[in-house]
Amino acid sequence: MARANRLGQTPTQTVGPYFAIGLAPHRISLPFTPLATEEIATDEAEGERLVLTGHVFDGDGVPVSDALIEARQRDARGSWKSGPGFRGYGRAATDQNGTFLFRSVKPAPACDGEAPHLWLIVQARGLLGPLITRVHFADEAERNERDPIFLAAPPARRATLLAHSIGPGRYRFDIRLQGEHETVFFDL
Amino acid sequence: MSDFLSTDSGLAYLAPRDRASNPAWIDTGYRSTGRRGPREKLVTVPPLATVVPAPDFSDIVVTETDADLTRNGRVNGQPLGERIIVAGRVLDEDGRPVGGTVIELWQANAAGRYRHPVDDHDAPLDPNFLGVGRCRTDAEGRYRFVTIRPGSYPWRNHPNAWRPAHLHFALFGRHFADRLVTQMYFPGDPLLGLDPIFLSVPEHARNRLIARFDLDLTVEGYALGYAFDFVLRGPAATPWESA
Ligand SMILES: [Fe+2]
Repeated sequence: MARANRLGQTPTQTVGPYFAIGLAPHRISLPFTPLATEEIATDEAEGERLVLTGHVFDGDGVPVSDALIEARQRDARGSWKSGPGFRGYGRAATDQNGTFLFRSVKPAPACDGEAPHLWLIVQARGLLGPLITRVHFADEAERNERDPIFLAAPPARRATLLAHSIGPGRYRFDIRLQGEHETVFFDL
Repeated sequence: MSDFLSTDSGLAYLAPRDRASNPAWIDTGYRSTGRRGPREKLVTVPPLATVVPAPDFSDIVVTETDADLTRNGRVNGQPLGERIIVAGRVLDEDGRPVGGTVIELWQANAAGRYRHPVDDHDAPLDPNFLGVGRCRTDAEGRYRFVTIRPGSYPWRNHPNAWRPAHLHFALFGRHFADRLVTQMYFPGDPLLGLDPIFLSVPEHARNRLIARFDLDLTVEGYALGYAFDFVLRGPAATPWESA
C-alpha cells in the first residue's frame, strides 16, 4: 500500500525484445561500451572460479531466447564491495537456445545463518516487471537448510532454487517462468 | 535476526514495490505474457532480503556524449529526425533525490526501427544513430538526455498493432531489488489508448509514464524539451511494511 504524502512509484514495463541495444550492446556488436557483461568477476579476482549456466523456459517448456538476467553476489570473502576484478554484478542475455552463462567466483556467505548464493533478476519480452530469484548450491545442503531466505520458499518448491554441479567449477541453474516446477520468485 | 545481517550493506530496509500501481504478470491484452508471466504467487521473504546493494558503477566514466544520442553514433553526419531533450530527476518515493545513479536508455530511430538483428520492420536504419545512451544523475538526482524522437513501429501482438512512440529506460536505486525498467511515452500520442503494454499499468498510475512538454527545457532554435521524473522505492517504515 502506498503511504500518504508519498510520490507514486514509477510503474515497470517490459524490457522488450531489443534490450541488448541498451543493456548488452556487445552481444549485438553495437559500438557502445557495455556497462556490465557476463563477467561478474574476472580472472583477477580472488576465489574459486565459478561458471553459472542454464536455460530459461516459458510455460510450454520452450526456450526463451530474449531474456535478460542480472546477477548480484558477494565476493569470496563475503563482501558486497567491488575489488580488483570483482564487481559482484553481471548481465547475461540468453541466446537462440535460451542459454545464459556467467563467469564469476564462488560467493562466500556473510555469516553462519547464510548459505552461499547469487541473486538473479530475470526480465524478458512478455514480462511486465523484474522477477527476482536466488541461486543456491545443491552441494551446500546443510547451509541451505539454515538460510532464512531459502527457507522462505515452500518446501516443495525449494528445489527450483538449486544449482547443480555439472563439472569442476561449473553449475547449472534453469529458470522456468511458468508451469510445472515454476521457479520461486520472491516478492521484492 | 543478527545486527550483522541487517547492517552488513549499510542499507535500510527497502519499502515494498507498490503492486497496485504495477502491471499484473498475465495480461490478456499483451499476448506473450500468457506463457511467460509467473502464475504462482510471489514468495514473501524476510526484510533482510531487501538490503542487497545495487551494483557500484562509481568507477565507470559516463561522458556528456554518452547522454547525447544525436552525437554518440555519428559516422558521416547528424541522425535524421526531430531532436528532443528529455530531462528530469530520479527521486525516491519520499522525494529524496537519488544522486550518482546510472540511467540507461535505448530506443528506435525516427523511422521506428531498432538497430537490432531481430527487428525486421521495413523501415530504414540510420547510419548515424545507435539508439543507446547513458547518463549519471547529479547530487540532486538530475539527468538530461539529448536524442531523436522515436517513431512508432508495428508489432505482432494483434492485427494492425502499433507501439506508441517510447523510450526504454533502466536504472537502479540504492538497493538491488529497486530495479526499474520502464518505458516513457509522449503526451497526446493517439496510440496510447490502444497499446496493451501501456494499458497494462493500472489506470491511476498510467500518467506516471507520460512525459510532459516543458518550455523551460526547450532550447531555442535547437530542440523541444520533455520533463520526466523517475520515482523509485524508499526506505521501509517500521520495520517492514506489509504489502
Ligand atoms: Fe520498444
